[in-house]
Amino acid sequence: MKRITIDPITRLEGHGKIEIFLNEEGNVENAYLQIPELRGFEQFSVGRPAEEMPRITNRICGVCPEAHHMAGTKALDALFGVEPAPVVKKIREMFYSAFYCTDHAVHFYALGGPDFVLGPDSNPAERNILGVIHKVGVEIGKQVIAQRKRNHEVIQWLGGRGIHPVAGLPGGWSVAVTEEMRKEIEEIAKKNIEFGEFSLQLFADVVLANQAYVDLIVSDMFTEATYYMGTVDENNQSNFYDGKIRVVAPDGSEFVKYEPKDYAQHIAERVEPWSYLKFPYLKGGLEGLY
Amino acid sequence: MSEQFEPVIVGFLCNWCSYRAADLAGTARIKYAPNMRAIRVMCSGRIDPQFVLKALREGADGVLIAGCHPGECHYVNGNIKAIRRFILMKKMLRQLGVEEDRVQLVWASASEGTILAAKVDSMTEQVRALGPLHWNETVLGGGNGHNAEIAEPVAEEV
Amino acid sequence: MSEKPKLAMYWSASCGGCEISVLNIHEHILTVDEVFDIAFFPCIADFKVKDVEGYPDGYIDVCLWNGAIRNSEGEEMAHLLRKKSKFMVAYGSCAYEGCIPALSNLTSKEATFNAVYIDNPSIENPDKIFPQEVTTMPEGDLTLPKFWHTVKALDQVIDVDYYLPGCPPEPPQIWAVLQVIVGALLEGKPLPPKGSLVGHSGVAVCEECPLEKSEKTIARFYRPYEIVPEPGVCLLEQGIVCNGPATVGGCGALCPQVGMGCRGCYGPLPGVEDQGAKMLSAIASVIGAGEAGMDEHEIERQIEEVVDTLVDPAGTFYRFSMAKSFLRRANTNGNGKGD
Repeated sequence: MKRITIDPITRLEGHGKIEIFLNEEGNVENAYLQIPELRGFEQFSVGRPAEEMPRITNRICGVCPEAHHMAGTKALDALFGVEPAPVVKKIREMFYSAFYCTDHAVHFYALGGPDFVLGPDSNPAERNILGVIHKVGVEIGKQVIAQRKRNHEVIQWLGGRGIHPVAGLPGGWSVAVTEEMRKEIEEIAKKNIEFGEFSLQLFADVVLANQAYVDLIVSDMFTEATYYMGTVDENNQSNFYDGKIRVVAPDGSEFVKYEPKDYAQHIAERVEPWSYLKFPYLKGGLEGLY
Repeated sequence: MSEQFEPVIVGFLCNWCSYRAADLAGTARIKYAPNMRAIRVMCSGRIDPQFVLKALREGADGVLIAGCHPGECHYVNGNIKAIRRFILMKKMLRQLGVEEDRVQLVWASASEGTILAAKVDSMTEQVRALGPLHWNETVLGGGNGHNAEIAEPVAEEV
Repeated sequence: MSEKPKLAMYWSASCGGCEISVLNIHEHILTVDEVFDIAFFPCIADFKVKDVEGYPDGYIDVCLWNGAIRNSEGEEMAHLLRKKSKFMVAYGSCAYEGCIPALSNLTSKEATFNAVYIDNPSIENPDKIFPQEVTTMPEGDLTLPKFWHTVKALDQVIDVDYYLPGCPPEPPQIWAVLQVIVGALLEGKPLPPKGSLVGHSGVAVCEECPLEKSEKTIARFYRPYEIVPEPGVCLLEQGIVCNGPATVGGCGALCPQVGMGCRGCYGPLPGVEDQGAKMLSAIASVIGAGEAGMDEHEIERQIEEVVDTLVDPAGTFYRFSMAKSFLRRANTNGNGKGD
């Protein structure tokens, strides 16, 4: 059996390798995504003070430390039985939204973007953010850089540091927002909206206008109908900071909606001997789909 | 095994009191365990916790800190700093899995040769009962960390 | 093939924060693009290990390595990239001193595997399956690296040329260091001596911290949520643990300025080997208990009372530097708690 190894997988955070086995006809017999890394946060956090968890678990990921920091902070709210004051929730949500604006820009342009902007037949040596900038021009590159810069400034103002924020406290937040900051953040938020619209237009011009790309993207090779999960408010609108977890089935119907604290009733994890990473799955979902 | 385990105890003794106490034990020909290797420092307050940890890492089975009685420190309160560090260090050593009796502190004035000798005797027996520490070999698998794998410590009752 | 110098950035047991810190030099990244070709940078580029194996030795001019050595794959990649690189930089706290992943040295491999694969609220593993180094599937054998018992820093497995501290390093420091490297590669300007710690202030975080410092005598320690610190005043003086006195600066003392104590991510001051021990020494020295003239037992009792209010000294003082401490790990007896 022919074997193709892709090592490492790239343009994401983390480690992985893919082993693809081809049968005699040259078709894929089976493929395995193996994750060769384990750090063991679950265990080495034991014995650490609870209030340090947001500052320890943010190191689970340095691309999205804000997410882990916020999860840890909300866990502290629950642990201490404290309902944060409305202003605390607003500051946290503002901080978190700035994170989304920079993080999505990174995904769109640097991580996922190169596949779409440069195409699947591009030279692997150029299929990256620098290749994207070379193709769409340095002016657009500067806009992406500016987007990240202003939102990371907000993250630093509100979270204490640009990467691995520190401000989360049980029921609170250690940074207050001044009127000056608020005004600047409002301006930044407006620029973020412009940038979002700009990016969608760029996608339309570079990707959606190219029929060959579109045919590829919607083809069987690149499409998998899965369940979809996100945090929503009472109107089922996306809210990144807080809300209920809503799961939508491949046919678009609502499968379940639950309080985050009830996660163990809906999600479980399996183990395979060929990967250090476990396999979280939706309980009661379609068999074989995760 | 017929050979008894002889603990290696590194002692940090302050110049003005405890080192003189050790001297006195010598001139008075007091017999006591030879297991403590004395290192003279000007004051017990000079003892950086790094010294203690380095000694444990590099082969010591125990470390003794010795200084003047509180109120008698040549530098007024160097020994107070020493005991503050000692107490906090004990708490940390517990988390690192180093047995309580391996790091001890004694106050001994220049005339208290017998007290110092008695402490060395009792500590030697306590450490002998605990067995060798050999941190580098048993806990770190030997070498300088350039080994391919570091051995799991042998499960022992602490 | 382009004549531009080659840059690599690789990660072992890390989090990606160091990669983002490089992106956070913002517009300066365009200069990096002008000067360098990327040779290997899994976070943002598609080069594979096979490409690196095919490079001539020393092909990569600068390799920025972040991540601690947690398993055999990290160790093998360290040896491979060392061979293929002229300069190896231990970038960030994980590579320099173990960082957060090295907290695992306070527990054991056994306890870790138990917590991850057997004993947790969301696991469904009735057959008690653990990851294996080799798994034979119908199509062929699948391999995984071996998980080491003890996390190591980069220079505990290979020769390192420079160390850039921080979790992650702060962008102004990163840019300053990159400029030195670029100056050396393009204009032959001198580099710091091999083995140097670069990108730091050389003095303690306290020097950069604007909080007002006076006399330190701590009557008791407070956990961060127990009091609201008085603004503008040194946190340590108020009883909130701050590792600033034993941490080298260069970060701008960001954490104390938002009321959260420094946790030491920039590592020890030059000349100090064991940062946790130094921090322990600094904090203990200013415990306001025990005085010359008191009864010996009373002194001990008072100090114990204050020390009781300080939780988790090992995890606090060694938060980032466990792999470089003299003892390197806890003697765990397999119970995972080290206590």
